[in-house]
Amino acid sequence: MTAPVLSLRDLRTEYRTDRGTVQAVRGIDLTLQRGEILGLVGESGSGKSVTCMSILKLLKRGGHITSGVAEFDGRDLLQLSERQLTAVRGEKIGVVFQDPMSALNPTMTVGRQIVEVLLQHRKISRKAARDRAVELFELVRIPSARTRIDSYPHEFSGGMRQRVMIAIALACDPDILIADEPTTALDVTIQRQILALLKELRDRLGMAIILVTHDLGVIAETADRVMVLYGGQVMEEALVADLFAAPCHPYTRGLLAAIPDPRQAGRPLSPVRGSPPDMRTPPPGCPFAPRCPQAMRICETPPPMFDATGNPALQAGQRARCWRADATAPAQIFETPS
Amino acid sequence: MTQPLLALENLEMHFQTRQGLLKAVDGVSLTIQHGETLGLVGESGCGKSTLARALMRLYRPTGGRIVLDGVDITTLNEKALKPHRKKVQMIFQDPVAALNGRMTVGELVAEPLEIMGIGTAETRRARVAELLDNVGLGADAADRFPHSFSGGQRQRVGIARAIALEPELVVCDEPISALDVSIQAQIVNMLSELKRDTGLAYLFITHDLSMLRHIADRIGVMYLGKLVEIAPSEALHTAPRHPYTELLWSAIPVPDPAARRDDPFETGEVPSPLDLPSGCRFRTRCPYATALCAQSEPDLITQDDGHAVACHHPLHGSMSNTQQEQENA
Repeated sequence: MTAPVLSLRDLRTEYRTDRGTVQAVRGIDLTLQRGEILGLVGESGSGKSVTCMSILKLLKRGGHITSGVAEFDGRDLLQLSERQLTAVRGEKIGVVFQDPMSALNPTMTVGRQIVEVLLQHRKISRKAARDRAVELFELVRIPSARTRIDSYPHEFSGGMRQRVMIAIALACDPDILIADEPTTALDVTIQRQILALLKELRDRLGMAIILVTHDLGVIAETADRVMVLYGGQVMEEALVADLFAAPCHPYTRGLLAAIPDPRQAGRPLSPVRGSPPDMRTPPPGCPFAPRCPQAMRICETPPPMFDATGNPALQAGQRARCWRADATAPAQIFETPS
Repeated sequence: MTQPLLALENLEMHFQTRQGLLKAVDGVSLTIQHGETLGLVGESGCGKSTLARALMRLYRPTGGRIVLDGVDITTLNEKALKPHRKKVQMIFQDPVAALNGRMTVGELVAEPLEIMGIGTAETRRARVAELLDNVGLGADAADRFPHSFSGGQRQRVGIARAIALEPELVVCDEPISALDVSIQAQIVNMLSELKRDTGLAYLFITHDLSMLRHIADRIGVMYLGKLVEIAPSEALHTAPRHPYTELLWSAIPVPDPAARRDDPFETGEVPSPLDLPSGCRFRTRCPYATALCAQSEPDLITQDDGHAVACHHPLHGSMSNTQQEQENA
């Protein structure tokens, strides 16, 4: 396997608030291969967005990265100065957010916003930048690109605005595109178009994409590999086909059981009982243990990641942070319910 | 058929805006029976939320009629409406955004009872405890404040408040969209249980089509202010007759990587509601549109099996508008 384009090790991020310190990310490891679409899936508070925003140090007020390494292009992004980071953001790593309206400048035409990005990162003329902007609009399939470029953000529909955001993110041919819930605010028909566009762009441009979503359907349609986050940690990671065919972690299985399959009618839904933990005081062991139907006494101790070594239930590349995935454990630990 | 709980007859809700006349709801007729769940779907801007607010009489409709339990409430003033208000309650996407954060959960749930002057302080307390139990929060929740609750728990508070007056119809406007997947199923199952136990009816508005299939008895599909199809839930999913319904269904992400689709799905976007296409409003995106579709707007016609569709060229071998008209002539 070739060297990953991004490698994140033991990332820890916390938010200091009036009501206490939220441990948003608690030791996340992530590798992203070139040209890969990696899905990060989890509920609100799972740490999926904070992980992405930590990579570019785009944290909201009160956010602090307390440890970790984010290796990209031979450097640790977490050690870069704000000035160095500005060069990386937008040029090497593009970002698309859930709400394009809040990320676009409402007083500037969208074309000018792309041109500004290009002029900031590239030594090109304004004319060349404008031509490139039209080309980018065509790339993301905005109809009548040459005229639409002079429109203001409010003159676009939600779906078209998201295409504008993607065009801006792609302006400098980034190695990585981070898409944080890019379709959550959109209608399903538009969502499918945007997801198809992301896949097409990956195929054509060869960039890697980190796709953050709470929707396993979106993951199934789009991602190559997936990481399931909960309580600021990775619960499970696997190739997307393996995760859906043979989920190992009880949380993954719970999530899969809770989503209605459009092809199966009337089947009663199986919710995951309880609520996500308060990340100011996360559970001492496995964060999912308080909701887990299979919790054991040992789950009060934080489980490490187990992989396929010695465990035939796991596929190559599949890893799960669950004591039940420990193939070497003595049988009696499975017999002590919590 | 028995008298429906609610009947909308050609309901119209037009707004005069600076850009022109916005026909948010443009002549919608439908009924909801006692104890029935009617789902309403459509893309943003289709008028589904406006329809809900109009039937709640939060707006005064600009045309048509709203008949609740046999009484025309379309133009009743606030005083005359009051006895009817308790029959229809509403659940919102974010219940707490609409609630007073300084009130305890108990006070919030008791508020509708107080407004309607039901019971004494003591009996209300007992009723609140019962309601909180019914929605799975437990009576202890009464003394807490909503901000200390998770999203799912807050929605339970919203539901307890909505059912406090024992309504016959609860209008649910995207009640689960803001919730996490693992919590959505909890709320949907609870709503189903409440319906089973109390026989109330729901109008369930959502853009989450796959969830709707699990709770709705019938589903209506709206497009640009019009109801384009309405049918029993199963029939609408397995054999949609309107091309728009087919388009919506095919857009739902399938949670199975083996069923992944890679076509670009370039199906266009919804036209501006201020500048509606002539004839059928869906024709600009419809793969089956013909010249006829630009000339005349198809009526919603109910077929023998109770499946109604407004299309000149319906799918799945059903009779088209024009065919039916010719036959009737």
